[in-house]
Amino acid sequence: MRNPRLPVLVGTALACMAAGFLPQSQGDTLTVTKRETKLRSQKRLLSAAVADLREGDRLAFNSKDGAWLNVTWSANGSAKTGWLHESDVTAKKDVRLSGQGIREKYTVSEAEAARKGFNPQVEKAYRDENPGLEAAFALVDQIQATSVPDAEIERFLREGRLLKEDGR
Amino acid sequence: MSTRRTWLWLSAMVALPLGLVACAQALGVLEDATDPNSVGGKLVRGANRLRKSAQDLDPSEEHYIGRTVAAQILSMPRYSLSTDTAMTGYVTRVGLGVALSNDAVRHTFAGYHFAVLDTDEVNALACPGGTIFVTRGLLKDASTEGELAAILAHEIAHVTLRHGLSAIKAANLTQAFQYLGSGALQAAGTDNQDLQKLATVFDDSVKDVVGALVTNGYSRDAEREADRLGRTLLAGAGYDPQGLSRVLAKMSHAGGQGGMFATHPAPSERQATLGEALPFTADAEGEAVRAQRFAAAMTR
Repeated sequence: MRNPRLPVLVGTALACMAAGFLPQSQGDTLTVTKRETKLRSQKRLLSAAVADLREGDRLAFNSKDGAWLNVTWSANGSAKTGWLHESDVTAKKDVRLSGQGIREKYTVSEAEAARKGFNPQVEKAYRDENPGLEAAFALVDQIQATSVPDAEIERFLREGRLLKEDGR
Repeated sequence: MSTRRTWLWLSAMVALPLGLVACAQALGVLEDATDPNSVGGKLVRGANRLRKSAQDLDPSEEHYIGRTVAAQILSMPRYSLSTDTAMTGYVTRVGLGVALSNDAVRHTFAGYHFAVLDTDEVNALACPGGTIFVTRGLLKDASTEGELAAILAHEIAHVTLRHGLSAIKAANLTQAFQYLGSGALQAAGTDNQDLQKLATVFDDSVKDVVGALVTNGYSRDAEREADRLGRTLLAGAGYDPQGLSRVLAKMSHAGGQGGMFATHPAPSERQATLGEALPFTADAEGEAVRAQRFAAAMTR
């Protein structure tokens, strides 16, 4: 008969492993995994930006509140503190990065790390093998180049009376 | 069960995963510190092949798989990209409104993007990484902005829950992780045979996802999971959460075409799974504004 404790055990193991990708204590280093994101002044996505971040940027973890992490980003001799959604970053040391966002100041070993996953190199090799898809990839580029400013989304939500007074 | 055995179980449940986390993190540190050509370096990199499931793919890897899935869909004769920028802009605002109003939405490498497929087919397709297609046929069937938001919330839930990536067959993932862990890409150059092999495995993985999205549909469990999260997202964005059940029931006639309605549980079963209705206070003034802009976007 199937052990009824097994799902609990597996679930606990998976939850704990996922926790390994999240910061555990103050000062832990986090790596930005989004191509671009913003450090926010408040714990909500449409709040004012404190700084623009790019994939590969390293941050120091301060604290956690729900899905939001308070972090400090130090660059060019200054430090900025703000909030980021937990899915914008990882605490994993060996995270695969695309290499698209890595700033020049990063070391060679990190650039090498960026070449270990499904990444632009693999896409290029795939496209070389499938030239018939070039027109479709151009359309994907067109779709993914579309960007709507936060202020416009906020206006749209307010116009439709979907946003509460506190902006949430 | 005796108290002693209970404690043993609890200890094992805590110690095992913590040990695994410690090992995984130690491997990352060791990989940074070792030469890839040394015996130690090879051992460490071999251990990194321990990545097993789609959940182990990192956000940028999901992005490149998702881009190629989207390209495959757009290359199909039955799907062409709508050039109606006003309609696409409206769908994008509704979708981003849902995504940006909810902390429960997982952020993807390049964010969420929305596009309209110019076909009468009633369907919606969520590519890994957050490119979401809705068809003109679906938009025609939707009566309100809330119904459109409900469909988009359901699709955002599929992305958040990585359902597309989960469709990649274990054998393909294992092979991919073997190549990636081998450090084959350390040698740059597109003439690298390993890179070409990896591109082949990448192709197989993409085909698995496209098959689930376009032909076979997700499992019923995945659909129920997306229903549950989708309803929460809908409520979080200020729309009537019951709108999801209503719109999926209304569009269930589209079943059998692949995509979102291929395997969806029957409306009555879906409602039973969702359970009690979430609280919602209707706002006539907001409803009127949304009805007006929905009509304006759909009648172009």
